[in-house]
Amino acid sequence: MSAETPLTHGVPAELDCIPEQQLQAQERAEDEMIMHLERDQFVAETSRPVPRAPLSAQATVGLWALRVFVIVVSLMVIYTFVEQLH
Amino acid sequence: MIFFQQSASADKGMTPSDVAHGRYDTALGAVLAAIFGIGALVAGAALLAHGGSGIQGFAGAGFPEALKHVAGGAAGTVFALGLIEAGAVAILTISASTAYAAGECIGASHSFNSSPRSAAVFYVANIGVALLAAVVILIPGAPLLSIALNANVLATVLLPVSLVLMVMLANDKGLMGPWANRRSTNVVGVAVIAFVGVCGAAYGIDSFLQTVYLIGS
Repeated sequence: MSAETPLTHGVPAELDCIPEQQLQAQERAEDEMIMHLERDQFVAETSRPVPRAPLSAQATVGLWALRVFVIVVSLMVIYTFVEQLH
Repeated sequence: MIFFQQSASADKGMTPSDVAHGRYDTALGAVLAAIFGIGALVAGAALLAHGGSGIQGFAGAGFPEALKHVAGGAAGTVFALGLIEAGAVAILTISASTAYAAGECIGASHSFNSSPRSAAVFYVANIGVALLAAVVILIPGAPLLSIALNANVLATVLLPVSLVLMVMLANDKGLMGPWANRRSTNVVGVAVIAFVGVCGAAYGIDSFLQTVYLIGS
């Protein structure tokens, strides 16, 4: 989360190859850098939009199923509530 | 609570060095919430066993008052204090999370560190939601039990959406780095999401089927 190394998707393979010690050193350096950020710099960093995540076909189908589930059951709950008002 | 915790963590300027303490805090909160939830369930069961009427028709002080007659004054008083505390926490977190969301949606300043002048939308939304909730509660004859039950069921139905997206974010190694979920964490997380989703949907669908008289109550 630094200004030099913006938050991006799509690099899991690289991270997997980083040795544990190097990862911890990188983590400490990022921690120290974040500690020294001014408040407005920190807020600007946290509000940086990240790109769309690449989704597999299974994940896309799963998310569509979730959408359908939520809409159908939500309509049932809302209908029940309206009926209970009568 | 998810949205409040996310926004409040950012607002407080928490950093990766706070992750460990955040985990302890969340775990302790989850355990205590479960204990208190079980306590409320036991209290409801006590009423059902002694009075036979269950909690139907109780609103506001009705539950602790009825509990006082069954389990003694101390139990009723503790339950009443618990209700007050739960209401105080709920009004703070719900109004704040709504205000955070409003600020984030329109790109306006949304922080308790900002002055009311520079974050007018945030503070107006925060106080406005609390006032709106108070107005609804004070409407004479408002079906408070039905509102509370159905609002919670709807929240439970919607919960898997935010939980699934949260797990997906937690698995993004590019975003999370060394804090990305492990396989074991994912197994537990997915099991919890499935359980919550099934329970919420079961209650919602069961209530719906009773309403349309497809099954008996």
